[in-house]
Amino acid sequence: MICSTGSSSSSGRALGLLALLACAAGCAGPRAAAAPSPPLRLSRVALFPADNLSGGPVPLRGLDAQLERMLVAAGLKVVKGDEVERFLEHHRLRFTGGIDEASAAAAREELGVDAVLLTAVEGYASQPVPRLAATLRLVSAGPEARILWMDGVARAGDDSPGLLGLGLVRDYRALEARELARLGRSLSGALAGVGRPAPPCELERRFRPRASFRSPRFDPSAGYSVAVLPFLNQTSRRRAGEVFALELTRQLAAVRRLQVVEPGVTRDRLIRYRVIMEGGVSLDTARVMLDTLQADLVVAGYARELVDGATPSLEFTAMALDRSGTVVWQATSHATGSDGVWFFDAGKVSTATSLACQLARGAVVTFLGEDDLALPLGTRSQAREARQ
Amino acid sequence: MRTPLKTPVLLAAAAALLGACASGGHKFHDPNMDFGSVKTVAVLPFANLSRDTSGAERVRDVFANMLLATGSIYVLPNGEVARGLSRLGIQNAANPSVEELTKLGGLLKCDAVIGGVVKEYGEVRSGSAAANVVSASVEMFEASSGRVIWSASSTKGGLSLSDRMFGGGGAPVNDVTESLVNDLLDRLFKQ
Repeated sequence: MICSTGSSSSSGRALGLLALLACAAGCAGPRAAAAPSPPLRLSRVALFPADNLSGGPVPLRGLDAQLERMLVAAGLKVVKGDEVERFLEHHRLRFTGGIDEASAAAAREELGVDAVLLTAVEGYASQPVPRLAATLRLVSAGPEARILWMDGVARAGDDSPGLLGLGLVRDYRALEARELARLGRSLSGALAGVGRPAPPCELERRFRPRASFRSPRFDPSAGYSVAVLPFLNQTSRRRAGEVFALELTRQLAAVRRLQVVEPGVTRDRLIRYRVIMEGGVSLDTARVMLDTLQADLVVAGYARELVDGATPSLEFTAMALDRSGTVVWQATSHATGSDGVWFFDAGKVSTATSLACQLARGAVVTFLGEDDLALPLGTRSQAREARQ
Repeated sequence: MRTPLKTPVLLAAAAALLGACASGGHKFHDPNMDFGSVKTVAVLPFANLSRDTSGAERVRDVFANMLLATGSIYVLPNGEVARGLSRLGIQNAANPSVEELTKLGGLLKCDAVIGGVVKEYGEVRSGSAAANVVSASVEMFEASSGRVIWSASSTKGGLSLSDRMFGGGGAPVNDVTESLVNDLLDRLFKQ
């Protein structure tokens, strides 16, 4: 037997004890290992044109072609191009950063797809240092429009220069291919039921919120249905509020007991009920959104700073309101990519999206605690049952 | 050999160093007010006298969040305050009249309203040295009567003696803002 301790001498006993400990450690599973999730039964996926949140021009057609290859490599049949364009035209859909329930149901009927892949490009540069930041999510085509998988990429060519700059990536195509291959593996894992459907960002102490509040009456261990509203943009960059909202959506989706409402559904309700959030979310707005979306919590906030570049700098405030109109959580985060960096740029964060992701992760931890077990995203009813 | 003058000189130098880092400010507490009855407050947009156009909004945000984080007082969301100001048609939200304050308090169902002025926000220079400084004063009004029940001001950051002597850019402006708000909250809770 491998783990037996049969020695009679004291040194032998000590060795045996060590062997037993090593055996026990080896037999124990990794602490953060996710419980098995059922595979996603998808065969056909519609590839919607990517939404540009970068604030600058992006060659989206080239990216769409790479995304198509990624989906095919994951074993999916892709509906794209003219067929999707005709569908969008027929339903007068100009916004492709999200999808509402009616459009998702129509996509199933007319395109014959099981899900829709939505892409938001948050950062792009081909030179002098290539850079790509994008968030992808797979939303079920059907009347529920659930987020099935969500992951992102945020890399710059000089992220890991290594010894003598051997790790530098100077070609944008190489960077794009490498990062989309990583995303493809994440998607394949989720499809097979072995990976997380929404992998969270790394949690670093230096990116925790600078000030946060959580109401003592709020139970962070319960299950909730959460809708994230677009953040009020107080920066000079266009659509910066949507970047923060998307990153927070991604980190909330990683928490297994939450059901996060697809941002396209939230946007549809804001438009349908003509909700204008002047100066931020009011209690009336929060109640309207919670009622129409049948959600338990609404998350809103303010984007105060979003500076991309060699050293990104970000600042935002996020808050959650419950059905009684009470603020149950609020956090203010700000950081630069060089915070906590002392020697040779070790640990430097070089893209705003990566920094936003880590700040959002830190904020979500103060909201709901450290929950690394990302199980499959449950249905709304499951979330409600867990809460009860 | 130790000279008798050495200790006073060292003490004087230490006092000068501490003096350079100290913040100015004042506070007022209404002695007749029961601050324990203040459960819910609305924080109005702060008036901005600094060069940074977003300085006041940032200080207000940090102030509201850190006040909420104390767990002692519930702070209404900024969006709800904006709705109240819009519904009442208050033009100068940073300087409301007593009548407007009482109406706003009734509409938002809060016990007190807090307003403020940001006087400095950003970098100050002296010769080749530069550092961030934030200066603000805040007032709390009783919502039912509109009278001032608490007032305080504080200044944090700026150039210290070491900054002047050895250079250095001082602390980041966000850190200085947090320090300022901490000081203001100390002046609120420590009577």
